[in-house]
Amino acid sequence: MSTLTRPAKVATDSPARRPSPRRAGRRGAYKGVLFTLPFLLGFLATYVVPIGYAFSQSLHEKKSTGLGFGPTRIVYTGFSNFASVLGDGAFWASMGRTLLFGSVQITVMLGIALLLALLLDGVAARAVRFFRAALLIPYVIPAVVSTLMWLFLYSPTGSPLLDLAERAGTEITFFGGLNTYLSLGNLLTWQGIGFNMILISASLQALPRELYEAARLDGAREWRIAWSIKVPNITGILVLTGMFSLIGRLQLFGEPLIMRQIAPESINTDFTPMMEIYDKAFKVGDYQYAAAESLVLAVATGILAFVFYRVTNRKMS
Amino acid sequence: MSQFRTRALASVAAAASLSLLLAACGGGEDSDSAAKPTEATKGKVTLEFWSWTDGIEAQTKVWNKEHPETQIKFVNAAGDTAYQKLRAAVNAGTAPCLSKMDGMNLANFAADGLLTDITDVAGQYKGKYTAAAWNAVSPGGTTFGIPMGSSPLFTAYRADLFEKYGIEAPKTWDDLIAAGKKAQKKNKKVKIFNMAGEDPSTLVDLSWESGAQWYKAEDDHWVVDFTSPEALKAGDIVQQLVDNDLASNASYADPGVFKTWDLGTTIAMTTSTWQLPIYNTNFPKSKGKWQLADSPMFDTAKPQTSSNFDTLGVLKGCKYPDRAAEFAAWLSSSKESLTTLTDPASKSGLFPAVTDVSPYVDKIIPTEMFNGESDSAKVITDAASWVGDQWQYGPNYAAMYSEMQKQWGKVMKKEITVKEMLTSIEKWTVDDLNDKGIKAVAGS
Amino acid sequence: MSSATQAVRATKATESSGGGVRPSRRAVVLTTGLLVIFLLYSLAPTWFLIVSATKNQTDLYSTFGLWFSSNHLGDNLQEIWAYHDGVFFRWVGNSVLYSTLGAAGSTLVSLAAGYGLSKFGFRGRGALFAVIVGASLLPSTLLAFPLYLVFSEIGLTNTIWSVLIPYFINPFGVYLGKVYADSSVPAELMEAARIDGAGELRIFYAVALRLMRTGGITIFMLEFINIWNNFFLPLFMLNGERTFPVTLGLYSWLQQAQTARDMNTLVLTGSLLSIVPLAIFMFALQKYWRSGILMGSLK
Repeated sequence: MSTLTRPAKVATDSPARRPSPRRAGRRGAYKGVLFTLPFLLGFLATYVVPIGYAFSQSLHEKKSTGLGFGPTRIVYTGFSNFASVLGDGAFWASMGRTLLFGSVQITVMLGIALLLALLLDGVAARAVRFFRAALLIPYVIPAVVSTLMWLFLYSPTGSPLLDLAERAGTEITFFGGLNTYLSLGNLLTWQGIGFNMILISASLQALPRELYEAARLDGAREWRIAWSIKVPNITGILVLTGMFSLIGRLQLFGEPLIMRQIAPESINTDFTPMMEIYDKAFKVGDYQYAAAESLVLAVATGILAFVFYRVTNRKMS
Repeated sequence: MSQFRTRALASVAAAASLSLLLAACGGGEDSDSAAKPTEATKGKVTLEFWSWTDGIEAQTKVWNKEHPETQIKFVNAAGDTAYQKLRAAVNAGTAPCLSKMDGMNLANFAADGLLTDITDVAGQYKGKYTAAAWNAVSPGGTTFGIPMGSSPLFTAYRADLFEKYGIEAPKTWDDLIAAGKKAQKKNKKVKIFNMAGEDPSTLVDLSWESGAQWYKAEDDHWVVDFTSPEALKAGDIVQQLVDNDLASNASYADPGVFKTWDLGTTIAMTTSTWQLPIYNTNFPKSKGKWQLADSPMFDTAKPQTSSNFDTLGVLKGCKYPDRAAEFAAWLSSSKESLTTLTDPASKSGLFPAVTDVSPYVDKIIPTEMFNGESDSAKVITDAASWVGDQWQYGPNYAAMYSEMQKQWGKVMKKEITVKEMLTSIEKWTVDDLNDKGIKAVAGS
Repeated sequence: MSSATQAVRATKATESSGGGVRPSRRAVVLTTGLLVIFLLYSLAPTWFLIVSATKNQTDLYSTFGLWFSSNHLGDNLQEIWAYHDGVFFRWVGNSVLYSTLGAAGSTLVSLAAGYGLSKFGFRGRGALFAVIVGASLLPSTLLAFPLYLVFSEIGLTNTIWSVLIPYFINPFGVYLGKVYADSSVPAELMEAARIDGAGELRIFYAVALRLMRTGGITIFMLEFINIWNNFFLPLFMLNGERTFPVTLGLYSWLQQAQTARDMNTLVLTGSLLSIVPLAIFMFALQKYWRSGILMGSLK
């Protein structure tokens, strides 16, 4: 089985002209709606209603009386939860921390993925298949499981890596200060390299070969071709991937939550915005406040996506 | 393309404003008052019971066989997220009648109106349990559940290393600090104590032992006192441990945590009953070199320990609270049930909260672990009987604890002092209570 | 596939036939060296997992973590089998069930919606499509909490539907569905079928679905992997360990690692076992998932 596929191929499974919806549409407009109806209903149920409900929750607060062990009342308090969230320095700090960390980690990850993709472009095809499959193994492992693995490897008490370091006569720590971010970054990078490598590999193969064939004939060195011809031609895809990854990073949750088990001083319960929301909602039980935090995070995500989109769009055009 | 994207975002905004409209219809009042059942229910009933302790399911089967009138439907609600599921279930009206919960969460659930007041039907069982245990199920003086287990604190130390460093098992907390310093003079790397970094549980234990009362119900209001002399005394011990680097920071959730002690770098640990069953397998290098001692005290004339209580809470909507209490009391106090549950073979790790624990102590002591120089059974029994009964969980204890947890990390990293943390938490707690409509004042 | 193979051959030919400069020996060594380094990096943690799965609790603490000591793999497997009547295998079964049903439902819903959007002009179609693209940017974790609030209000939490329904609704899948429908279902063919008197539903499943097969498999696969790896939604929605998927089950084991019973050997051996089904799935369908990723990247 060939391991290479051109990206355009899927889209051209069977040749077809662009449909003209108008012609088909007039007659069967309502039928078109019927086909989308299952999705629409589900979308309403799983996107629109929950967001609306969360919003209504966030406008309320729970009040008690007496010593506080009697019945409770949910009282409308307007935007007071939002005011608290907006004024909560720790919440914004967690957002800033996640973004800053994410941008560095994603840059490194994409850099390595790019390097590997370029390297794979330059070795014999049989070796390519082997390396590609092996480098993809981390992607096959569910995130929770890979985090568990690294948890054991980072464990301040049980890590075999610390054993190794000790035998070599040095002492290392995986957490505290910058090390926390390096360790977490390593985990996320390890998880993500393979997938992104495939992505970049594919874009490289999609480049028309004429682009660099001439340079090659002129005797340009491979690394020179890679750097001056291949890389500039896939910058667009790199930026786009990076942007999506960063938006995703803002929701970082499972990895730090699990890592917290071995590094609680370094990874606090408000390390990332999602962790803070989880803590507020399920450890403390303050749904209303957690709902407000969720919505603020959603809006921040939206703004970020929008800004990114404008910036990258301008750059590319 | 660009135009398309802009439109996409505009539509998302439109969807969002639609949800605003929907939201206006939402909301509502949740003002069910907890019914106060007094009469006994009659006839055959079935109630649901959630737990995540090993060995409990087998016991419910035993009960079911003997009590056809009250059948228990057991659900294994695996740990950690169980509390949020319980909340959801209560809101949806599908809650079990009875569930395992720790003392802190029982108070938190009670404060959120998610439990049933069983003061009247449960009173008959009060005498079976220690006063401290009964306190744990009666926040603010109202009983919401039945005690299940206790985990009183005591100390285990490396007898051989203590001898090597020329120190003795500390009787008081000041002794512990002094011994720790002395050991470090002989070996710089050695630590005498461990404070888990994930939560301020060490501070809670110390405050409990010193006689402090973070929350105290007085008539119609709470007195919140994190800065009383007792509380500060406890805080000061923690501060000294931090300042002098006398404690390691192994987290109990770290899979290799026992290596901290097995390798002899940390030479003593605060421990409790629930950990004992796994000691034999986890201390391959130091087996047989350990010895038990009483926990260090603040006042040796008036020994006081602390404990985490496991409880069985009766949830809102439970139709047969009397039956639930009856079953719970059988599970956690009858000789029949406890004999099985305290056997390490059950893997429950349970230690009873009843007044007389002597029949259940011997079996839980890991024989290979200890050197036999001290009377392990007596240490455990004493610790159980010395648990201070002044400790109360306030209605916002969980939120307070979460807040303190965030600051605790900073204390461990020496960014703030314990006293600073306590002062700010006191203010936070009072404000939060008042904000919820509960009267509270700061202590002296 | 064949065109791609040719492309590789062509590249190879130019490389070896000396059209340009042959890569120097040093370059080859450097390239291979770097690749090997990253290969080791990718495999090392898995190695640790394999080694650990063969150890018992005592050895786990007291012997060197990256090499074998006495073999207890059999005991560990037996312990997993024995734990709560083999609940681990039920978790694997749950994962397979949720992933298969969720992905199948999501594929069908997405293809139908994509087809409807692509082939019929109705009022608000453009706006709807824009909302869908916008929604696909919203990470699913963010929605988990609001969803949980609603589902718990209507008593849907802790049922299989509480995870399946959100899995069914996949805006990105609809986007892909539309792209596939645009490119692989010719309007002429639909027109011809209509003239033959076929109903719209029949045209959809007899003609369109068959033409969009590759796209359908791609959506199925991406969603299958997503669901298999999902941790957040089940964490919120499911209670009672018999309903857990394997990711959540392993997490719950880790959570109780330090209670009255030792769970570390179970966690490690279980982790190793849990990788196997997805690995088989992925490598069996690798032809598709590469093309699927590419579609995603074209977004």
